[in-house]
Amino acid sequence: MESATSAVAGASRPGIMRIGVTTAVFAAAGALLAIGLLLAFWWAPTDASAMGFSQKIFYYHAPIAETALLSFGIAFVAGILYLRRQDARYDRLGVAAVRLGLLFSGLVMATGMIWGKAAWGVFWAWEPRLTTFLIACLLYAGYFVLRGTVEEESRRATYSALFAIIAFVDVPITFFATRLLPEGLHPVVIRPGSSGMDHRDFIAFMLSMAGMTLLLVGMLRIEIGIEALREELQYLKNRLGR
Amino acid sequence: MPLDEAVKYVASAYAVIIVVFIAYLVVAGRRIGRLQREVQVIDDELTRREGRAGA
Repeated sequence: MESATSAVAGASRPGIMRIGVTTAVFAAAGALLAIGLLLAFWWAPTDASAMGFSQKIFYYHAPIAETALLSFGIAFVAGILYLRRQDARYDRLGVAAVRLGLLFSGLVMATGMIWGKAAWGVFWAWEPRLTTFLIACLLYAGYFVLRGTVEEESRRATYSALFAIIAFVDVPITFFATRLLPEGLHPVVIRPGSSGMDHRDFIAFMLSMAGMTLLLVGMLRIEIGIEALREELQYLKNRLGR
Repeated sequence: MPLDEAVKYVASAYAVIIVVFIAYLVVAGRRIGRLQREVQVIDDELTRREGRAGA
């Protein structure tokens, strides 16, 4: 007999993630991150500046930061697409991207504080990059506060899309903060026309970047799958009259 | 900075990253498992009801 959920399969039913693809994405991400880290520790030269060995934090710290900003960028694009097409898939993508953006932001703050203590002797400094990143975290935390206050689904999705678009204003400010205000403590690693790094540093860094980006893709698939399952559950509960 | 002190900072940073990612995967796996079980239970119940209604 056909099951109740397969009977409603169609455009209105949320899609379920394919576990095989997600596992393959995680495996590729794990391999790239592991190789990047091995190269960072055993091939790339140790920083000759005052930072010395503690500079090794950079190989995951910077890719995590870029991934956090990329997540917010995805939420921005998903917000625009939702407003244009009113398709719930873009709302799910937006929620997943902001949630992961916050997770990566928390990690970048934590590793950044450890790095700050090693490099500057303090866990926190009110300098442009750190301050704008903190503002981004607080802004995107507000995204979930907003979602929690609106019950009606389509209104919640519309407000969330608008919020994600407006909050994205802080992302380029955060990214360019160290370039526009060079008197800050945070170093500028990649400059236009030059990576500013030894080629071994650069290869290890780019592998970590690729791995972290793939990790985000895998995690996005998980989060979207969870949102889809949640919606499917709500749909079935409504049919059951619960 | 002396190497032994730098090693502590580097190890702490990577430990935080690894713990957070592993914790994420464990929590996400549990969330998926719980939701799939709930969906299955309600799906079975609906299928039974529709089977009875059709009979």
